[in-house]
Amino acid sequence: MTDGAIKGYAEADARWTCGNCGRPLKPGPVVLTYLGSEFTVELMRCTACGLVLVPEDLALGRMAEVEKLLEDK
Amino acid sequence: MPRACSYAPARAPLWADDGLRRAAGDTLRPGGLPLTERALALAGLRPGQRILDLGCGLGATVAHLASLGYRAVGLDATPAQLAKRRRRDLPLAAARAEALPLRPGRFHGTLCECVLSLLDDPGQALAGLARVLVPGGMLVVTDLCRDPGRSGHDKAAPLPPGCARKALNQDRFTDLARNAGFLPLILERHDRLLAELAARLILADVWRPGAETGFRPVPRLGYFLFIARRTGDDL
Amino acid sequence: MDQARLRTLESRCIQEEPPRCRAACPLHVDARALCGHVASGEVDKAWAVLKRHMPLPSVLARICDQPCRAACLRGEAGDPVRVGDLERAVARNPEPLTRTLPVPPRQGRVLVAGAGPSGLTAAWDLAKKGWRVTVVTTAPGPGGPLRDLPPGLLPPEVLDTEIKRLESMGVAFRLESPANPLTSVPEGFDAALVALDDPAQGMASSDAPEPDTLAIGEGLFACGEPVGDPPSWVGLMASGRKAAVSLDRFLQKVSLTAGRDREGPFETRLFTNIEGVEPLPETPMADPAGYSLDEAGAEAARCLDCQCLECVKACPYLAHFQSHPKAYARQIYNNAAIVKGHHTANILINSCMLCGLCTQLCPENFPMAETCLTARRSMVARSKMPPSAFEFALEDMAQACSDICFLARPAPGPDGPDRCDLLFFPGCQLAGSAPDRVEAAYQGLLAADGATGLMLGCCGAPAHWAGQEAMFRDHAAMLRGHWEAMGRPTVIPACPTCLDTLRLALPEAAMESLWEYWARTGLPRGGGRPLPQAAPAVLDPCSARREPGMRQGARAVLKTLGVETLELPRLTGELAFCCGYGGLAHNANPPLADETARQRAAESEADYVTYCAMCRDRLARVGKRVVHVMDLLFASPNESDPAARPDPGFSGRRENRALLRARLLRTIWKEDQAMPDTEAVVLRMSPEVAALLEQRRIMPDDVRRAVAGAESSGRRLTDPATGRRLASFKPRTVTFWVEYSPLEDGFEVFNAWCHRMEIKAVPS
Repeated sequence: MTDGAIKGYAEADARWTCGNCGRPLKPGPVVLTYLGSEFTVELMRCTACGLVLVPEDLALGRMAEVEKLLEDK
Repeated sequence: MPRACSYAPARAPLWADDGLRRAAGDTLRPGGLPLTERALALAGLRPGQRILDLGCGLGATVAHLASLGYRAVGLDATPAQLAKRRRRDLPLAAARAEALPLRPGRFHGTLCECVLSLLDDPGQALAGLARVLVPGGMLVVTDLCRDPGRSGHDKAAPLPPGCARKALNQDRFTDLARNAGFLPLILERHDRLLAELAARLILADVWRPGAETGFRPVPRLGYFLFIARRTGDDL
Repeated sequence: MDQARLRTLESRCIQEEPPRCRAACPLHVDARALCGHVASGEVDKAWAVLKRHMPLPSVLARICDQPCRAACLRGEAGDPVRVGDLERAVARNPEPLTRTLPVPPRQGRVLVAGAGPSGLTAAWDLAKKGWRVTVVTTAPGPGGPLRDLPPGLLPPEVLDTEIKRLESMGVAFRLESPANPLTSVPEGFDAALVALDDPAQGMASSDAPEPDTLAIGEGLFACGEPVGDPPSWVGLMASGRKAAVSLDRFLQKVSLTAGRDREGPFETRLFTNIEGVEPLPETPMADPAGYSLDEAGAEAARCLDCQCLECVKACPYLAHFQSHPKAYARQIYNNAAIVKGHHTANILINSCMLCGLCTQLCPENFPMAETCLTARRSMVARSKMPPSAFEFALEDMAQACSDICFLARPAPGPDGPDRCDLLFFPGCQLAGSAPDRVEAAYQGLLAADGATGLMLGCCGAPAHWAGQEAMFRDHAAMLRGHWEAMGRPTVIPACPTCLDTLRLALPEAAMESLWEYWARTGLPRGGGRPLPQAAPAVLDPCSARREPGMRQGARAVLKTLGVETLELPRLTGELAFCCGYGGLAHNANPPLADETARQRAAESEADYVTYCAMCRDRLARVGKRVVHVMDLLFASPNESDPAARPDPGFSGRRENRALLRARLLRTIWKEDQAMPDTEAVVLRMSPEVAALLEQRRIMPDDVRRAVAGAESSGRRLTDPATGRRLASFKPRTVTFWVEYSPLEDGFEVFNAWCHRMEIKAVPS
């Protein structure tokens, strides 16, 4: 946490490979944005094609919480 | 946390915990170093000038200011934190805000980021800071502030322990600064930065906001930037 | 909303008005709170209530003549509460020690001539404010007529303790032989008070003190005129308090008269419903000297704890936020006033069902719906409306008006494309929920009047409720265009919400609800009409609140059908409450909307019959057996139990709307239409997955496009172990993810999720 690396993926996400080029996905920093605020999160992605995986539990869990918080809902 | 404190969370947010705040240093402050730089710029403090960072923690801000050319020193109340600092050559020392071991009139600027809201007597600390500033020196504060819940329930409900219990209302803080011999110049709200910090902590899975317990108008937390000039007349 | 309007709005909610006892008390002691603490056995807290408002509390508590008792609402349901005896019971317990903060002394000296109850009270109040008070009386000392009371009622040591307390507050007592009556402020003082209830001060009565201020000269005031026979002790003390207020203002050189209209006893605006309250007699006193604490507790428990809360009692939304409309109005105002900061009242503003039940029940018609709707409009105008609050509902509205669902046609046939007497407007929810019934209804209408056109689409209610004024105006213009093109027919909406909303969108149109129309002109022929086994209860939709004609019409239709009906025991007709659809509550706050539906369902054991498709579906969702009047008109005998028909869900509704349009174009206007269910992309999924997607509000159309896009572009993720694929698709603001596998004739869907946060950039 102290150096800012936020881990958004889980080990199980390594099951996915890029369907475009066939390469396995690798974790790396991705900039997420919502309503003008930006956050850097480590997600699994294809370095060649740029496809990024947003896993289900991140989307429905922490991301949904953050969306609500930023919306002042 | 803004939303959490409005809805009285079950668990106190970790980041407001003194220990975690000091341990994580500047990455855990709303706005981070960019806000610090903005504050110094607004105060007109230039490289070469002497800056005191009160509550310097691990010294990350002092190191950064030094890299920009300021003559920065840091004081922190917890020797254990200072012992953990990464660079041994930084001018940091242990001292409590209420009793600064410094000669008067030494500094062009004093920086207090997320430290005054931890003190029982911020007024006393402010008086001490006024003393160590040159006449016309600048006080630079970024910190939590508390807005009273405005509704029929006028009595501010107590915040859960650890959740910035001592954060002051911004008007009350301004009065304290005035009483300590400062002329308030700038007050900016940066509540969004607080929300973004909360969001980062959620994403990092370090914290979750509490469940909504209905609509109790509990005081809300915000974040503010405050710049004042030391004047001649202290009370 | 500015401050002045906020104050006016706030004043309409009477929940914070004092109960009758407090309003009738000349000192405004909180007798309701006193009763609460005594009933719970909290003697110290009861003492604190007395000390908060009473001067010389241990004296007054013993001798108070309780004018509050005559005003007590319990008196309308039994005997009024014996508040005076409760005070005495509390006073016989030791007074808890409280720390009084020292008051900074002020430069102002007051002479009080007379140490009776009014003079002592004035001294008490003035000393508490820091003024320097000297009280003058004759031997044997302060007290006046209090000294004459029997010691069993007021022990002399109790009075002496209070006098000592006054001295410790800084009041100086002087004994003088009877002096000349005070006619002006004496030398050495800045103001003076003649307290007439102590004969020692020499004046028998005073020449007409000013009624509002008790002034009898410059800086000279008079209090303690006896009121009633025997004189009311609390009245005398209140007189002293009134004089103290005048003196305090005089010494501060501020207005003596401003804002004093509720100083003495007044009539409260608080309304408390005592319907169904069991009358109770007063608690007997075993010892004539007074109540024991147990007896006092029992007597205090008879207190009705007067509140209003009429609206909160009826509405789960108002109850959920644990406060009342006056406080909500303040919070909503503050939410709007915040420029930079947190808008924590958003959920409060967006969860209101805008149904107006509270306004109907409120003795002062507090306009909660109007307040929330105005706030929503303001938030939209200032771009502060959280996107996820109503977005889904607005997308639903857009879908209902999209090319595949929208239809605006005059009747087919010899009456020609231009002539249209009537225009049937079933509404998008009925079309989505029961397309067969819409078809049957339109056929029925055509049979009765061949010049009946049809408009399938949304009336615009979601835009109106979401505070989207511009969107609503544009939508209304679109509807008007079609209406005018069809020759400005009389509109026949089936849904009460459509009727309400179309009146806003097309104010110049003649309108009659379908139910009134059929009640008036006769029912169409139906499909066999199986009657319900037992009489159902009529569920009036909340939007029928102001439409007695529609409510009668629906009931008349049912009667003609031979259906016997029951009426709900409460909250029906004008007081109908919402199923959770109103105001888009089910979008902004799904758990609250479901709770509302559950409460509605629990009002009666009987099955329900209603004439709003959303009421039907929302109650079906929470497991209630409910039919739509259309079901009773058009269901055929071999149809499975219509009362058990489940809510079709959002995806079901969207498909139904498209199906309905295509089918009607084919069967009525004889235009060949490709049916929507021959889409290129065929999806298969288990019922569990379908339910999951419905719950997550992921529509099959978005799933299809995600899969189609991934397949055609190749941009997807693959799991080599299982062969499954993962597609990602962002049609508008939400990003959808779909996990699927290709089949021979389509795709099987295993999972889908979505989020709003966007991937901005991938740093290389």
